[in-house]
Amino acid sequence: MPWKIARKELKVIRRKKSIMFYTIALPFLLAALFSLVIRNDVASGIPSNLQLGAESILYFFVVLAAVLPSTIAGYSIVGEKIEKTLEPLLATPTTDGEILLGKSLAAFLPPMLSMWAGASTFMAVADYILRNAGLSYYYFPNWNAAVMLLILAPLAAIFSVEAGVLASSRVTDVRGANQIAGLMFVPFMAVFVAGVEGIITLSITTLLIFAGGVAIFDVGLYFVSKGTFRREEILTKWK
Amino acid sequence: MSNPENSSVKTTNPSTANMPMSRKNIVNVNHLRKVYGSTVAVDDVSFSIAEGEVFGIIGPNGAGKTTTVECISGLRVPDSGSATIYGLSPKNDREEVRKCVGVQLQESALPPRIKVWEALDLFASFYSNPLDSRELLETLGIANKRNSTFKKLSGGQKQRLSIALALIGNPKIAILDELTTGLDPEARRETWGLIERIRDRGVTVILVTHYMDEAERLCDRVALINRGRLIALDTPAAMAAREGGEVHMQFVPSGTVDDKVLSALPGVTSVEHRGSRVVVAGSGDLTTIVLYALLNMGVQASDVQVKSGNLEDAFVRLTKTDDSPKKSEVSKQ
Repeated sequence: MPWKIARKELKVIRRKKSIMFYTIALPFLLAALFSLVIRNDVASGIPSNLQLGAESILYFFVVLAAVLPSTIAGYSIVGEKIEKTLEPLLATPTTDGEILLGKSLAAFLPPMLSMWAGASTFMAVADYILRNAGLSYYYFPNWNAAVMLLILAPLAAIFSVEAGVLASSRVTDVRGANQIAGLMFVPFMAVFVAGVEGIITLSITTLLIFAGGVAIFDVGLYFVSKGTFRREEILTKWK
Repeated sequence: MSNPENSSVKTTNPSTANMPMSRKNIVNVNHLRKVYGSTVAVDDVSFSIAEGEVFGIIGPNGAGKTTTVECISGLRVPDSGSATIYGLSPKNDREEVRKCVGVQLQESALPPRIKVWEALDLFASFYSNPLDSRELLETLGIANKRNSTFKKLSGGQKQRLSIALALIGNPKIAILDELTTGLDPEARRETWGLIERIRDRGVTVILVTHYMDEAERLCDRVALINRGRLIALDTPAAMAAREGGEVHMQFVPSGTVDDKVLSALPGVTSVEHRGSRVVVAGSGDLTTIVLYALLNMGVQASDVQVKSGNLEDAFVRLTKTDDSPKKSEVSKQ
Protein backbone atom coordinates (compact mmCIF):
# COMPACT_ATOMS: atom_id res chain seq x y z
CA MET A 1 0.00 0.00 0.00
CA PRO A 2 2.69 2.65 0.85
CA TRP A 3 4.37 2.00 -2.50
CA LYS A 4 1.09 2.66 -4.32
CA ILE A 5 0.73 5.98 -2.53
CA ALA A 6 4.38 6.75 -3.29
CA ARG A 7 3.83 6.03 -6.99
CA LYS A 8 0.92 8.44 -7.08
CA GLU A 9 3.00 11.05 -5.26
CA LEU A 10 5.88 10.56 -7.68
CA LYS A 11 3.54 11.10 -10.60
CA VAL A 12 2.32 14.33 -9.05
CA ILE A 13 5.83 15.52 -8.19
CA ARG A 14 7.13 14.62 -11.65
CA ARG A 15 4.71 17.16 -13.07
CA LYS A 16 5.84 19.93 -10.71
CA LYS A 17 8.55 21.37 -12.94
CA SER A 18 10.08 23.79 -10.42
CA ILE A 19 10.49 21.07 -7.80
CA MET A 20 11.98 18.64 -10.32
CA PHE A 21 14.38 21.25 -11.71
CA TYR A 22 15.62 22.11 -8.22
CA THR A 23 15.97 18.43 -7.26
CA ILE A 24 17.83 17.41 -10.41
CA ALA A 25 19.86 20.52 -11.17
CA LEU A 26 21.33 21.32 -7.76
CA PRO A 27 23.51 18.18 -7.32
CA PHE A 28 24.95 18.58 -10.81
CA LEU A 29 25.59 22.29 -10.29
CA LEU A 30 27.45 21.45 -7.07
CA ALA A 31 29.35 18.66 -8.83
CA ALA A 32 30.50 21.15 -11.47
CA LEU A 33 31.39 23.79 -8.88
CA PHE A 34 33.35 21.37 -6.66
CA SER A 35 35.16 19.98 -9.68
CA LEU A 36 36.38 23.50 -10.45
CA VAL A 37 37.53 23.83 -6.81
CA ILE A 38 39.51 20.58 -7.09
CA ARG A 39 40.99 21.69 -10.41
CA ASN A 40 42.05 24.98 -8.87
CA ASP A 41 43.56 23.24 -5.82
CA VAL A 42 45.73 20.89 -7.87
CA ALA A 43 46.93 23.53 -10.36
CA SER A 44 50.37 23.50 -8.78
CA GLY A 45 50.46 19.81 -7.86
CA ILE A 46 48.71 17.43 -5.46
CA PRO A 47 48.19 19.25 -2.14
CA SER A 48 49.29 17.65 1.12
CA ASN A 49 45.81 18.04 2.65
CA LEU A 50 44.09 16.28 -0.26
CA GLN A 51 42.09 13.98 2.01
CA LEU A 52 40.70 16.84 4.08
CA GLY A 53 39.79 18.87 1.00
CA ALA A 54 38.30 16.13 -1.16
CA GLU A 55 36.31 14.49 1.60
CA SER A 56 35.03 17.74 3.02
CA ILE A 57 33.72 18.49 -0.43
CA LEU A 58 32.17 15.06 -0.74
CA TYR A 59 30.57 15.49 2.68
CA PHE A 60 28.76 18.45 1.20
CA PHE A 61 26.64 15.94 -0.70
CA VAL A 62 25.48 14.59 2.68
CA VAL A 63 24.40 18.13 3.56
CA LEU A 64 22.68 18.25 0.18
CA ALA A 65 20.84 15.01 1.00
CA ALA A 66 19.46 16.77 4.08
CA VAL A 67 18.40 19.82 2.06
CA LEU A 68 16.93 18.45 -1.17
CA PRO A 69 13.98 16.38 0.17
CA SER A 70 12.62 19.30 2.18
CA THR A 71 10.96 20.80 -0.90
CA ILE A 72 9.04 17.67 -1.78
CA ALA A 73 8.38 16.67 1.83
CA GLY A 74 7.19 20.16 2.68
CA TYR A 75 4.80 20.07 -0.23
CA SER A 76 3.64 16.50 0.39
CA ILE A 77 0.90 17.22 2.89
CA VAL A 78 0.48 20.97 3.07
CA GLY A 79 0.32 21.19 -0.73
CA GLU A 80 -2.49 18.67 -0.69
CA LYS A 81 -4.18 20.62 2.08
CA ILE A 82 -4.32 23.65 -0.16
CA GLU A 83 -5.45 21.75 -3.22
CA LYS A 84 -7.96 19.73 -1.13
CA THR A 85 -6.61 16.53 -2.61
CA LEU A 86 -5.82 14.71 0.61
CA GLU A 87 -9.39 14.18 1.79
CA PRO A 88 -10.34 11.47 -0.73
CA LEU A 89 -7.28 9.50 0.33
CA LEU A 90 -8.19 9.84 4.00
CA ALA A 91 -11.59 8.29 3.30
CA THR A 92 -10.04 5.06 1.98
CA PRO A 93 -8.98 2.07 4.12
CA THR A 94 -5.36 3.26 4.14
CA THR A 95 -3.79 3.71 7.56
CA ASP A 96 -2.02 6.87 8.73
CA GLY A 97 1.30 4.98 8.74
CA GLU A 98 0.78 3.87 5.13
CA ILE A 99 -0.01 7.41 3.97
CA LEU A 100 3.03 8.84 5.76
CA LEU A 101 5.32 6.08 4.55
CA GLY A 102 4.10 6.48 0.97
CA LYS A 103 4.65 10.23 1.06
CA SER A 104 8.04 9.80 2.70
CA LEU A 105 9.17 7.32 0.02
CA ALA A 106 8.16 9.76 -2.71
CA ALA A 107 10.05 12.58 -1.01
CA PHE A 108 13.09 10.36 -0.42
CA LEU A 109 13.70 8.66 -3.76
CA PRO A 110 14.10 11.49 -6.31
CA PRO A 111 16.51 13.58 -4.17
CA MET A 112 18.56 10.51 -3.25
CA LEU A 113 18.90 9.35 -6.84
CA SER A 114 19.74 12.86 -7.93
CA MET A 115 22.26 13.32 -5.13
CA TRP A 116 23.95 9.98 -5.93
CA ALA A 117 24.15 10.94 -9.59
CA GLY A 118 25.67 14.33 -8.71
CA ALA A 119 28.15 12.82 -6.24
CA SER A 120 29.16 10.11 -8.73
CA THR A 121 29.73 12.75 -11.39
CA PHE A 122 31.86 14.76 -8.98
CA MET A 123 33.92 11.69 -7.97
CA ALA A 124 34.54 10.72 -11.60
CA VAL A 125 35.59 14.24 -12.62
CA ALA A 126 37.73 14.64 -9.47
CA ASP A 127 39.50 11.35 -10.20
CA TYR A 128 40.18 12.49 -13.75
CA ILE A 129 41.61 15.83 -12.54
CA LEU A 130 43.69 14.19 -9.81
CA ARG A 131 45.15 11.55 -12.16
CA ASN A 132 46.06 14.26 -14.65
CA ALA A 133 47.68 16.22 -11.82
CA GLY A 134 49.95 13.28 -11.07
CA LEU A 135 48.11 11.18 -8.48
CA SER A 136 49.05 7.58 -9.08
CA TYR A 137 45.75 6.00 -8.05
CA TYR A 138 42.03 6.68 -8.24
CA TYR A 139 41.14 8.62 -5.11
CA PHE A 140 37.41 7.86 -5.37
CA PRO A 141 35.58 5.75 -4.48
CA ASN A 142 36.93 4.97 -1.04
CA TRP A 143 35.47 3.70 2.26
CA ASN A 144 34.82 7.19 3.59
CA ALA A 145 32.85 8.01 0.47
CA ALA A 146 30.90 4.76 0.82
CA VAL A 147 29.93 5.52 4.41
CA MET A 148 29.01 9.10 3.53
CA LEU A 149 26.98 8.36 0.43
CA LEU A 150 25.50 4.95 1.20
CA ILE A 151 24.85 5.21 4.95
CA LEU A 152 24.94 8.78 6.21
CA ALA A 153 23.33 10.51 3.20
CA PRO A 154 20.23 8.24 3.13
CA LEU A 155 19.82 8.69 6.89
CA ALA A 156 20.16 12.47 6.45
CA ALA A 157 17.56 12.39 3.68
CA ILE A 158 15.18 10.35 5.86
CA PHE A 159 15.71 12.88 8.67
CA SER A 160 14.83 15.72 6.31
CA VAL A 161 11.84 13.88 4.83
CA GLU A 162 10.35 13.08 8.21
CA ALA A 163 10.91 16.61 9.48
CA GLY A 164 9.31 17.92 6.29
CA VAL A 165 6.28 15.65 6.53
CA LEU A 166 5.94 16.50 10.22
CA ALA A 167 6.19 20.25 9.55
CA SER A 168 3.88 19.88 6.58
CA SER A 169 1.16 18.29 8.66
CA ARG A 170 1.33 21.03 11.29
CA VAL A 171 1.50 24.24 9.26
CA THR A 172 -0.90 25.71 6.73
CA ASP A 173 1.31 26.87 3.87
CA VAL A 174 4.02 25.27 1.77
CA ARG A 175 6.60 27.98 2.45
CA GLY A 176 6.26 27.51 6.20
CA ALA A 177 6.77 23.77 5.85
CA ASN A 178 9.77 24.26 3.56
CA GLN A 179 11.37 26.75 5.92
CA ILE A 180 11.04 24.44 8.92
CA ALA A 181 12.17 21.38 6.96
CA GLY A 182 15.00 23.39 5.42
CA LEU A 183 16.50 23.88 8.88
CA MET A 184 17.23 20.16 9.09
CA PHE A 185 20.53 20.67 7.27
CA VAL A 186 21.89 22.58 10.31
CA PRO A 187 23.22 19.57 12.31
CA PHE A 188 24.86 18.17 9.17
CA MET A 189 26.39 21.53 8.36
CA ALA A 190 27.67 21.76 11.94
CA VAL A 191 29.54 18.47 11.48
CA PHE A 192 30.96 19.78 8.20
CA VAL A 193 32.23 22.96 9.86
CA ALA A 194 33.66 20.95 12.75
CA GLY A 195 35.50 18.75 10.22
CA VAL A 196 36.89 21.68 8.26
CA GLU A 197 37.93 23.45 11.45
CA GLY A 198 39.72 20.33 12.63
CA ILE A 199 37.52 19.91 15.71
CA ILE A 200 36.65 16.42 14.48
CA THR A 201 38.05 14.27 11.72
CA LEU A 202 35.61 12.92 9.15
CA SER A 203 36.93 9.40 9.66
CA ILE A 204 34.86 6.27 9.11
CA THR A 205 34.39 5.86 12.86
CA THR A 206 33.20 9.46 13.31
CA LEU A 207 30.86 9.17 10.36
CA LEU A 208 29.42 5.86 11.63
CA ILE A 209 28.84 7.26 15.12
CA PHE A 210 27.11 10.30 13.62
CA ALA A 211 25.08 8.00 11.34
CA GLY A 212 23.99 5.97 14.38
CA GLY A 213 22.76 9.12 16.08
CA VAL A 214 20.85 10.24 13.00
CA ALA A 215 19.29 6.77 12.67
CA ILE A 216 17.96 7.01 16.24
CA PHE A 217 16.47 10.44 15.44
CA ASP A 218 14.95 9.03 12.24
CA VAL A 219 13.11 6.29 14.12
CA GLY A 220 11.95 8.77 16.75
CA LEU A 221 10.75 11.28 14.16
CA TYR A 222 8.75 8.58 12.34
CA PHE A 223 6.75 7.85 15.47
CA VAL A 224 6.32 11.55 16.24
CA SER A 225 5.06 12.17 12.67
CA LYS A 226 2.67 9.25 12.91
CA GLY A 227 1.45 10.38 16.32
CA THR A 228 0.80 13.94 15.17
CA PHE A 229 -0.86 13.05 11.86
CA ARG A 230 -4.53 13.40 12.78
CA ARG A 231 -7.06 12.78 10.05
CA GLU A 232 -9.84 14.49 11.91
CA GLU A 233 -7.75 17.63 12.41
CA ILE A 234 -6.87 17.65 8.73
CA LEU A 235 -10.54 17.53 7.78
CA THR A 236 -11.65 20.01 10.42
CA LYS A 237 -8.96 22.67 10.59
CA TRP A 238 -7.90 22.75 6.99
CA LYS A 239 -11.25 23.75 5.54
CA MET B 1 -32.83 -2.93 17.14
CA SER B 2 -34.34 -0.24 19.29
CA ASN B 3 -35.38 2.92 17.62
CA PRO B 4 -33.54 5.79 19.20
CA GLU B 5 -35.22 8.55 17.27
CA ASN B 6 -36.00 11.46 19.51
CA SER B 7 -39.65 11.91 20.41
CA SER B 8 -39.48 15.63 19.59
CA VAL B 9 -38.60 14.81 15.98
CA LYS B 10 -41.52 15.32 13.63
CA THR B 11 -42.43 12.08 11.89
CA THR B 12 -45.56 10.47 10.50
CA ASN B 13 -45.01 7.58 12.87
CA PRO B 14 -42.43 8.21 15.54
CA SER B 15 -41.58 4.56 15.94
CA THR B 16 -40.71 3.90 12.32
CA ALA B 17 -40.74 7.22 10.44
CA ASN B 18 -41.78 5.34 7.31
CA MET B 19 -38.70 3.17 7.40
CA PRO B 20 -38.82 0.32 4.91
CA MET B 21 -39.88 -2.43 7.32
CA SER B 22 -38.84 -5.37 5.16
CA ARG B 23 -35.19 -4.33 5.21
CA LYS B 24 -32.72 -4.53 8.06
CA ASN B 25 -31.09 -1.47 9.55
CA ILE B 26 -27.45 -1.26 8.63
CA VAL B 27 -26.65 2.20 9.95
CA ASN B 28 -27.63 3.17 13.46
CA VAL B 29 -26.92 6.59 14.85
CA ASN B 30 -27.61 7.03 18.56
CA HIS B 31 -27.61 10.38 20.34
CA LEU B 32 -24.66 11.61 18.31
CA ARG B 33 -22.99 14.77 19.58
CA LYS B 34 -20.00 16.64 18.19
CA VAL B 35 -18.60 19.88 19.54
CA TYR B 36 -15.97 22.14 17.95
CA GLY B 37 -14.62 24.48 20.59
CA SER B 38 -17.65 26.36 21.86
CA THR B 39 -19.90 25.36 18.97
CA VAL B 40 -22.14 22.32 19.13
CA ALA B 41 -22.13 21.07 15.53
CA VAL B 42 -24.28 17.98 16.11
CA ASP B 43 -26.52 17.62 19.11
CA ASP B 44 -28.28 14.41 20.12
CA VAL B 45 -28.96 13.18 16.59
CA SER B 46 -30.43 9.68 16.25
CA PHE B 47 -31.72 7.76 13.26
CA SER B 48 -31.42 4.42 11.48
CA ILE B 49 -30.92 3.65 7.81
CA ALA B 50 -32.21 0.49 6.16
CA GLU B 51 -30.31 -1.56 3.61
CA GLY B 52 -30.87 -0.38 0.03
CA GLU B 53 -32.40 2.90 1.11
CA VAL B 54 -31.56 6.31 -0.30
CA PHE B 55 -31.47 8.34 2.89
CA GLY B 56 -31.32 12.10 2.58
CA ILE B 57 -29.85 14.48 5.12
CA ILE B 58 -31.13 17.98 4.49
CA GLY B 59 -30.71 21.22 6.33
CA PRO B 60 -29.53 24.83 6.00
CA ASN B 61 -25.85 25.65 5.53
CA GLY B 62 -23.87 24.93 8.67
CA ALA B 63 -26.64 22.81 10.15
CA GLY B 64 -24.31 19.88 10.93
CA LYS B 65 -25.13 17.61 7.98
CA THR B 66 -21.55 17.04 6.87
CA THR B 67 -20.31 16.54 10.41
CA THR B 68 -23.00 13.90 10.92
CA VAL B 69 -21.97 11.88 7.87
CA GLU B 70 -18.30 12.31 8.65
CA CYS B 71 -18.96 10.80 12.09
CA ILE B 72 -20.78 7.92 10.39
CA SER B 73 -17.92 7.30 7.99
CA GLY B 74 -15.30 7.49 10.74
CA LEU B 75 -13.62 10.63 9.47
CA ARG B 76 -14.54 12.35 12.71
CA VAL B 77 -14.92 10.96 16.18
CA PRO B 78 -18.11 11.95 18.01
CA ASP B 79 -17.78 13.45 21.48
CA SER B 80 -20.66 11.32 22.72
CA GLY B 81 -23.27 8.99 21.31
CA SER B 82 -22.43 6.47 18.66
CA ALA B 83 -22.79 5.47 15.04
CA THR B 84 -22.55 1.90 13.84
CA ILE B 85 -22.37 0.45 10.35
CA TYR B 86 -23.24 -3.23 10.10
CA GLY B 87 -22.64 -3.29 13.84
CA LEU B 88 -19.10 -1.95 13.41
CA SER B 89 -17.88 1.18 15.11
CA PRO B 90 -16.30 3.72 12.72
CA LYS B 91 -14.01 4.74 15.56
CA ASN B 92 -12.78 1.32 16.65
CA ASP B 93 -13.14 -0.64 13.40
CA ARG B 94 -12.04 2.14 11.06
CA GLU B 95 -10.40 -0.01 8.39
CA GLU B 96 -13.32 -2.46 8.28
CA VAL B 97 -15.87 0.34 8.06
CA ARG B 98 -13.95 2.06 5.25
CA LYS B 99 -13.99 -1.17 3.27
CA CYS B 100 -17.78 -1.13 3.13
CA VAL B 101 -18.33 2.62 2.90
CA GLY B 102 -17.51 4.76 -0.12
CA VAL B 103 -17.29 8.45 0.63
CA GLN B 104 -17.53 11.42 -1.71
CA LEU B 105 -16.58 14.42 0.35
CA GLN B 106 -17.81 17.95 -0.16
CA GLU B 107 -15.29 20.16 -2.02
CA SER B 108 -12.59 17.52 -2.24
CA ALA B 109 -10.39 17.36 -5.32
CA LEU B 110 -7.63 15.39 -7.00
CA PRO B 111 -4.19 16.55 -8.11
CA PRO B 112 -4.85 18.65 -11.25
CA ARG B 113 -2.62 16.59 -13.53
CA ILE B 114 -3.63 13.12 -12.42
CA LYS B 115 -5.38 11.20 -15.17
CA VAL B 116 -8.80 9.67 -14.66
CA TRP B 117 -7.53 6.11 -15.07
CA GLU B 118 -4.58 6.77 -12.74
CA ALA B 119 -6.88 8.03 -9.98
CA LEU B 120 -9.21 5.06 -10.37
CA ASP B 121 -6.34 2.54 -10.44
CA LEU B 122 -4.84 4.10 -7.32
CA PHE B 123 -8.09 4.05 -5.37
CA ALA B 124 -8.95 0.54 -6.63
CA SER B 125 -5.62 -0.67 -5.25
CA PHE B 126 -6.72 0.21 -1.70
CA TYR B 127 -9.54 -2.35 -1.74
CA SER B 128 -9.55 -6.13 -1.83
CA ASN B 129 -12.55 -6.49 -4.14
CA PRO B 130 -12.72 -3.39 -6.31
CA LEU B 131 -15.07 -2.87 -9.23
CA ASP B 132 -13.77 -2.93 -12.76
CA SER B 133 -12.73 0.68 -13.42
CA ARG B 134 -13.52 0.56 -17.16
CA GLU B 135 -17.01 -0.77 -16.46
CA LEU B 136 -17.56 1.84 -13.78
CA LEU B 137 -16.51 4.67 -16.07
CA GLU B 138 -18.81 3.24 -18.71
CA THR B 139 -21.71 3.18 -16.23
CA LEU B 140 -20.99 6.76 -15.17
CA GLY B 141 -20.70 7.95 -18.76
CA ILE B 142 -17.11 9.16 -18.64
CA ALA B 143 -15.35 6.25 -20.34
CA ASN B 144 -14.18 8.63 -23.08
CA LYS B 145 -12.44 10.76 -20.43
CA ARG B 146 -10.26 7.91 -19.20
CA ASN B 147 -7.04 9.56 -20.37
CA SER B 148 -8.01 13.11 -19.47
CA THR B 149 -6.37 14.91 -16.58
CA PHE B 150 -8.53 15.98 -13.64
CA LYS B 151 -8.12 19.68 -14.42
CA LYS B 152 -9.51 19.21 -17.93
CA LEU B 153 -12.79 17.69 -16.72
CA SER B 154 -15.95 19.79 -16.54
CA GLY B 155 -17.74 20.26 -13.21
CA GLY B 156 -20.17 17.46 -14.02
CA GLN B 157 -17.39 15.12 -15.11
CA LYS B 158 -15.45 15.84 -11.92
CA GLN B 159 -18.53 14.95 -9.90
CA ARG B 160 -18.92 11.73 -11.88
CA LEU B 161 -15.30 10.89 -11.18
CA SER B 162 -15.78 11.57 -7.47
CA ILE B 163 -18.75 9.19 -7.54
CA ALA B 164 -16.56 6.65 -9.33
CA LEU B 165 -13.90 6.98 -6.63
CA ALA B 166 -16.54 6.54 -3.92
CA LEU B 167 -17.80 3.39 -5.65
CA ILE B 168 -14.58 1.81 -6.92
CA GLY B 169 -14.11 -0.14 -3.68
CA ASN B 170 -17.46 -1.88 -4.28
CA PRO B 171 -18.99 -0.39 -1.11
CA LYS B 172 -22.28 -1.43 0.43
CA ILE B 173 -22.91 2.15 1.51
CA ALA B 174 -22.14 5.31 -0.48
CA ILE B 175 -22.01 8.66 1.29
CA LEU B 176 -22.47 11.50 -1.17
CA ASP B 177 -22.01 14.96 0.31
CA GLU B 178 -23.50 17.87 -1.67
CA LEU B 179 -22.75 16.08 -4.87
CA THR B 180 -24.61 18.41 -7.18
CA THR B 181 -23.64 21.74 -5.65
CA GLY B 182 -22.33 24.05 -8.37
CA LEU B 183 -23.59 21.94 -11.26
CA ASP B 184 -25.83 23.30 -13.98
CA PRO B 185 -29.42 21.96 -14.10
CA GLU B 186 -28.66 19.46 -16.86
CA ALA B 187 -25.61 18.05 -15.06
CA ARG B 188 -27.63 17.87 -11.84
CA ARG B 189 -30.32 15.82 -13.52
CA GLU B 190 -27.72 13.52 -15.05
CA THR B 191 -26.18 13.06 -11.61
CA TRP B 192 -29.59 12.17 -10.20
CA GLY B 193 -29.83 9.45 -12.82
CA LEU B 194 -26.47 8.13 -11.67
CA ILE B 195 -27.58 8.02 -8.05
CA GLU B 196 -30.65 6.05 -9.09
CA ARG B 197 -28.39 3.61 -10.90
CA ILE B 198 -26.21 3.29 -7.79
CA ARG B 199 -29.35 2.50 -5.77
CA ASP B 200 -30.38 -0.05 -8.38
CA ARG B 201 -27.07 -1.83 -7.84
CA GLY B 202 -28.18 -2.44 -4.24
CA VAL B 203 -25.96 0.21 -2.68
CA THR B 204 -27.40 2.09 0.29
CA VAL B 205 -26.98 5.79 -0.34
CA ILE B 206 -26.65 8.53 2.25
CA LEU B 207 -27.19 11.76 0.38
CA VAL B 208 -26.39 15.11 1.94
CA THR B 209 -28.03 17.95 0.08
CA HIS B 210 -29.63 21.33 0.47
CA TYR B 211 -31.56 20.99 -2.77
CA MET B 212 -35.11 20.02 -1.86
CA ASP B 213 -36.04 18.94 -5.38
CA GLU B 214 -33.10 16.54 -5.28
CA ALA B 215 -34.18 15.06 -1.96
CA GLU B 216 -37.78 14.82 -3.14
CA ARG B 217 -36.80 13.03 -6.31
CA LEU B 218 -34.20 10.62 -4.93
CA CYS B 219 -34.70 9.93 -1.25
CA ASP B 220 -36.80 7.23 0.36
CA ARG B 221 -36.59 9.18 3.60
CA VAL B 222 -35.10 12.47 4.66
CA ALA B 223 -33.74 13.68 7.97
CA LEU B 224 -33.94 17.44 8.46
CA ILE B 225 -31.14 18.77 10.63
CA ASN B 226 -31.26 22.33 11.87
CA ARG B 227 -28.78 23.94 14.25
CA GLY B 228 -27.20 20.56 14.88
CA ARG B 229 -30.45 18.87 15.89
CA LEU B 230 -32.66 16.43 14.03
CA ILE B 231 -36.02 18.18 13.76
CA ALA B 232 -37.89 16.01 11.26
CA LEU B 233 -37.57 12.53 9.80
CA ASP B 234 -39.94 11.13 7.22
CA THR B 235 -40.52 10.32 3.59
CA PRO B 236 -40.32 13.46 1.46
CA ALA B 237 -43.99 13.09 0.51
CA ALA B 238 -45.16 12.67 4.10
CA MET B 239 -43.03 15.56 5.30
CA ALA B 240 -44.33 17.79 2.52
CA ALA B 241 -47.93 16.79 3.19
CA ARG B 242 -47.63 17.32 6.91
CA GLU B 243 -45.49 20.43 7.04
CA GLY B 244 -45.72 21.85 3.53
CA GLY B 245 -48.70 24.07 4.29
CA GLU B 246 -51.98 24.54 2.50
CA VAL B 247 -53.10 23.55 -0.97
CA HIS B 248 -53.74 26.54 -3.23
CA MET B 249 -56.27 26.13 -6.03
CA GLN B 250 -56.92 28.90 -8.53
CA PHE B 251 -59.27 29.08 -11.50
CA VAL B 252 -61.13 31.46 -13.80
CA PRO B 253 -64.90 31.12 -13.17
CA SER B 254 -67.43 31.33 -16.03
CA GLY B 255 -69.82 33.37 -13.82
CA THR B 256 -70.26 34.92 -10.38
CA VAL B 257 -68.97 32.82 -7.51
CA ASP B 258 -70.57 32.93 -4.10
CA ASP B 259 -67.58 33.29 -1.77
CA LYS B 260 -69.67 32.36 1.27
CA VAL B 261 -70.47 28.95 -0.21
CA LEU B 262 -66.81 28.27 -1.01
CA SER B 263 -65.66 29.51 2.42
CA ALA B 264 -68.09 27.15 4.12
CA LEU B 265 -66.69 24.08 2.36
CA PRO B 266 -64.79 21.62 4.60
CA GLY B 267 -61.04 22.30 4.67
CA VAL B 268 -61.26 25.71 2.99
CA THR B 269 -59.45 28.43 4.94
CA SER B 270 -59.63 31.40 2.57
CA VAL B 271 -61.13 32.60 -0.72
CA GLU B 272 -59.57 35.49 -2.61
CA HIS B 273 -60.19 37.22 -5.92
CA ARG B 274 -57.16 38.22 -7.96
CA GLY B 275 -58.40 39.94 -11.07
CA SER B 276 -60.47 37.43 -12.99
CA ARG B 277 -59.07 34.54 -10.94
CA VAL B 278 -60.36 33.04 -7.73
CA VAL B 279 -57.81 31.59 -5.31
CA VAL B 280 -59.01 29.06 -2.74
CA ALA B 281 -56.66 27.92 0.03
CA GLY B 282 -57.18 24.97 2.29
CA SER B 283 -56.30 21.40 3.01
CA GLY B 284 -57.52 17.91 2.22
CA ASP B 285 -59.12 17.02 -1.11
CA LEU B 286 -59.67 20.67 -1.96
CA THR B 287 -59.85 20.37 -5.74
CA THR B 288 -62.68 17.83 -5.81
CA ILE B 289 -64.71 19.66 -3.18
CA VAL B 290 -64.39 23.08 -4.86
CA LEU B 291 -65.10 21.77 -8.37
CA TYR B 292 -68.18 19.95 -7.06
CA ALA B 293 -69.42 23.15 -5.35
CA LEU B 294 -68.87 25.16 -8.53
CA LEU B 295 -70.82 22.56 -10.49
CA ASN B 296 -73.72 22.94 -8.04
CA MET B 297 -73.55 26.74 -8.55
CA GLY B 298 -73.70 26.24 -12.31
CA VAL B 299 -70.28 27.80 -12.71
CA GLN B 300 -67.59 26.32 -14.91
CA ALA B 301 -63.95 26.63 -13.92
CA SER B 302 -61.25 27.05 -16.54
CA ASP B 303 -57.44 27.32 -16.33
CA VAL B 304 -57.47 25.39 -13.05
CA GLN B 305 -54.12 25.34 -11.25
CA VAL B 306 -53.43 23.47 -8.03
CA LYS B 307 -50.28 23.92 -5.99
CA SER B 308 -49.72 21.73 -2.98
CA GLY B 309 -47.05 22.21 -0.35
CA ASN B 310 -43.77 20.56 -1.28
CA LEU B 311 -40.65 19.56 0.61
CA GLU B 312 -39.20 23.04 0.18
CA ASP B 313 -42.26 24.57 1.85
CA ALA B 314 -41.93 22.02 4.64
CA PHE B 315 -38.21 22.78 4.95
CA VAL B 316 -38.79 26.53 5.22
CA ARG B 317 -41.62 26.09 7.66
CA LEU B 318 -39.80 23.61 9.88
CA THR B 319 -36.54 25.55 10.01
CA LYS B 320 -38.37 28.84 10.57
CA THR B 321 -40.49 27.53 13.41
CA ASP B 322 -37.71 25.46 14.96
CA ASP B 323 -37.27 26.85 18.45
CA SER B 324 -34.13 24.91 19.30
CA PRO B 325 -31.38 27.24 20.49
CA LYS B 326 -28.73 28.46 18.08
CA LYS B 327 -25.50 26.48 18.09
CA SER B 328 -23.59 29.10 20.01
CA GLU B 329 -26.40 29.34 22.55
CA VAL B 330 -26.43 25.59 23.00
CA SER B 331 -22.78 25.67 23.89
CA LYS B 332 -23.43 28.11 26.72
CA GLN B 333 -26.02 25.89 28.33
